[in-house]
Amino acid sequence: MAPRTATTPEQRKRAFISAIALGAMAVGIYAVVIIKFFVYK
Amino acid sequence: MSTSTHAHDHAHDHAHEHHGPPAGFTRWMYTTNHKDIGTMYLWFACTMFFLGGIMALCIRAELFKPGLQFFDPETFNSLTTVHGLVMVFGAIMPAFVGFANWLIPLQIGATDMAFPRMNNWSFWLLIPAALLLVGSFFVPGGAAASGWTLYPPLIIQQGMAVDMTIFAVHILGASSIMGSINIITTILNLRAPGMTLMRMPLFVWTWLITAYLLIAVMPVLAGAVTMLLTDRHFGTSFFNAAGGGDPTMFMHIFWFFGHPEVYIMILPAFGIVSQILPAFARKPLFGYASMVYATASIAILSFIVWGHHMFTVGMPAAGNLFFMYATMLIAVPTGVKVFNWIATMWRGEMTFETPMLFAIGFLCLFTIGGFSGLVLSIVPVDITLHNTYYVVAHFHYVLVSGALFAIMAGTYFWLPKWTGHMYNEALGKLHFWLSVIGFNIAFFPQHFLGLAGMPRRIPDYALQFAEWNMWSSIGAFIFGFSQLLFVYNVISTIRSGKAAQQKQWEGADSLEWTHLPTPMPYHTFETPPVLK
Repeated sequence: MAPRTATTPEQRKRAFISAIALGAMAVGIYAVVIIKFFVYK
Repeated sequence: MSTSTHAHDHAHDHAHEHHGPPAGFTRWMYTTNHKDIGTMYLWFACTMFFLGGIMALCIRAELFKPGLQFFDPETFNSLTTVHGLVMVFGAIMPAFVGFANWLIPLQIGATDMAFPRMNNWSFWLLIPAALLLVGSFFVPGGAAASGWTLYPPLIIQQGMAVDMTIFAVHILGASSIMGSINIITTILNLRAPGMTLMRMPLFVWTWLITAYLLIAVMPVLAGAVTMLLTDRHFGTSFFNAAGGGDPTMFMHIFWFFGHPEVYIMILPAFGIVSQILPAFARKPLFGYASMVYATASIAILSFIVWGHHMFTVGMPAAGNLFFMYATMLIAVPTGVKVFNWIATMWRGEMTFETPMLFAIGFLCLFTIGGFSGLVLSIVPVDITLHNTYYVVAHFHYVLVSGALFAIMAGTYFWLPKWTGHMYNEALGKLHFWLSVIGFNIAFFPQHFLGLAGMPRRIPDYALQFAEWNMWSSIGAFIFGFSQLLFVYNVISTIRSGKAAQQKQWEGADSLEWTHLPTPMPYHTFETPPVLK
């Protein structure tokens, strides 16, 4: 049986950082839309 | 590419005898396997496609002849609204996410998606959203009736179905964003050694770009519908003119989301077709790099053309001109793609199995939709044709013969690999021809109706429009019922199709065909493939 090799710790770390950045981008865009109009109005 | 991982995979087959999927409902409820989740996305999309299709046939039955036949105008408007929302958010988008789940890890040599649990959650969020959307028909006042664009002030004045719709859109948006994060992180971080970005199959590239589009625009839609909600229930007047708000502002925000959304639904289709045409032409894709750059160009341009959906609201002439020319500019990278697809087929050793037929059908009919889009991009023409059936014809050529035909092509193409069984080719071809004939009878006459001035979203119409509407309804029923052949073919393939080969299509060259057995083991690429 060949050894199972899941993702490496380095890959997991980079994936986690990517996900945090992308999630922050999504939340940031939502916040900008909402805050802009709430402040404007 | 090397086949040096075959030995590993055969070894894995034995391993999977001890590590297959659990049985029963819990397999699907708790699964973190990208193949299972892809399968669930595809069946969900199929179910919603038929629900949306039933609504479409209700619409066409009502429009078969002038006068009110089956539905009152309010219910008719609800049908058009929910049909649009269900098809966009419930059928087309989840179908492409299903393809992404199945194919991206396989095509980049990854063992699974980067965040398998989040992947599971992304899928299961769809169920309550779909229940809210479809269930809104059964609450007092009926479903939202403002069109899928949810325009105020009408949407602000309707009943609780609108709140259900807004909640559904929020949930679907969250699901899409989580799915997109998963796709981007998987592609950027989990590629097999040697799988450089410019060696990735086009489907992976188109999904990478699509996922960025989704993350950029879904929060904008969420912001817009949040403000609709506060306008309805919390005393704000963002879009309510009576309170000093501006309904036109909603249109700007909505279409800033809405136009990239069109490309979210078509770029993965481009990716699927870009893999099928070379496989059946037995030639490499012509102009791979230009395809990647054209996809990125289309995505970037999609952010600066939203105004072409609202030429009639009274924007300054300079604004109209900007949006007109920006829209026309999109024809350049799209033209590059069409040229490359044709050049790929040129002097190829082509055969015409069902996936190839659907891909060629896509190429011919999507191009018609693209051309009618160019017609509509011209401001004075659009002012005449705005809100007519010409627009309905245009976007159905883009989304049905574009996105949906690519989904059909992709399903027939990868079904042997997914299931281990070959579908019935004769039935597939019959499905294709009935679809093409039914689709064109349904939607081509709508160009004539629009040019003659028939407005969209009306349950009754003047007698002069009767004949083409009758033909359109006949075509819609042919198209609708021919999709039952597709479902029958898929189910009979899964249950009793002939065994498929590892490389069912001679010209297919991505990793799932060259490196993995058919049927595939439950877990794949636990040891990354070595690519030369």
